[in-house]
Amino acid sequence: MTISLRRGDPQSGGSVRVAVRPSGDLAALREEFQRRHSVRLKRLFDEALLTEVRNELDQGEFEERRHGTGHAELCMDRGRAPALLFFLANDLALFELVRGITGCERIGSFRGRVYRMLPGSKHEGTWHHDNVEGRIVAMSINLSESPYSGGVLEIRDSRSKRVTRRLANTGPGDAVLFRIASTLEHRLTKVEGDVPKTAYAGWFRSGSDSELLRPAEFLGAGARGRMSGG
Amino acid sequence: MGEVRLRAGAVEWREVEGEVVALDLDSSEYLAVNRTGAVIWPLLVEGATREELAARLATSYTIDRSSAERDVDRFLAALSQRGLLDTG
Repeated sequence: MTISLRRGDPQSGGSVRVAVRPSGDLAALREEFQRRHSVRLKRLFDEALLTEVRNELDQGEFEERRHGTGHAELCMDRGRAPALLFFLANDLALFELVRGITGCERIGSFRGRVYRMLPGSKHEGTWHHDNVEGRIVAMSINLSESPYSGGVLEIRDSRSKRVTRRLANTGPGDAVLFRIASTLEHRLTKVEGDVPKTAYAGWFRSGSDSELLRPAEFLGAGARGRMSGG
Repeated sequence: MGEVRLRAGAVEWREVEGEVVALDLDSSEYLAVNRTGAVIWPLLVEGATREELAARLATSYTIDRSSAERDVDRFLAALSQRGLLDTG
């Protein structure tokens, strides 16, 4: 099964829609996630949408941030690119697909950030579990301009410390879903070579609904009438 | 007023349970458009005249044409105030 986000026409119910092409099936993705706590969704962003996102990224600015886990990265929190990505990720249709694959509880929202890891050890990740604030499944979407080396997601059992999965996510627009649990830890290995890694990454969370369902302003074209036929 | 349409690249939107949730990309603010506005939203995406918008509203709801025109005007004014419209 191929899941992709792509531009919709005005009659399709949105400027972007979640498209599902059945090549394989949901059961195979679910089985892989259950067994390996992670799965890759190839081309979650189709080429046109990925190009738009990259163009927006080019207009934004990255700032260095050091996380509580100790590792540093360049982040982009403000501007059109993060707003667009937040909108794309907070889609009820996508939530349902993620639930179908991961078997997780009801998803209320996705919150993420754009990050860029530069080659070299400065931006190397440290082991952590992220099991806070209702986070249930993590997602990372590759937005890098070209293939990078390193930056591999590693998942290990938190007790035995045995690494159970190494997953590179270098395909353009590809996404990785992985389970968040106290029994699992993960990290990113350092990026090598010359090409930085750029991704939109964050967590599907249980609990309250996304702010997409709590908008800043209500607009209407009058509500005095009664819908014909309704 | 000629044709009016949502400004290209200004908003992302999706229909949710008959209403429209829209993201104003420049302000990063989310807007909810009620069911009545959602009826004419696709026309605004493609471009339409005020008269076409009012006609769609009048035929979709049991309201007279002049009421529909007033509703459309208020709606367009709110969108225009946010800089989301192109008017031809």
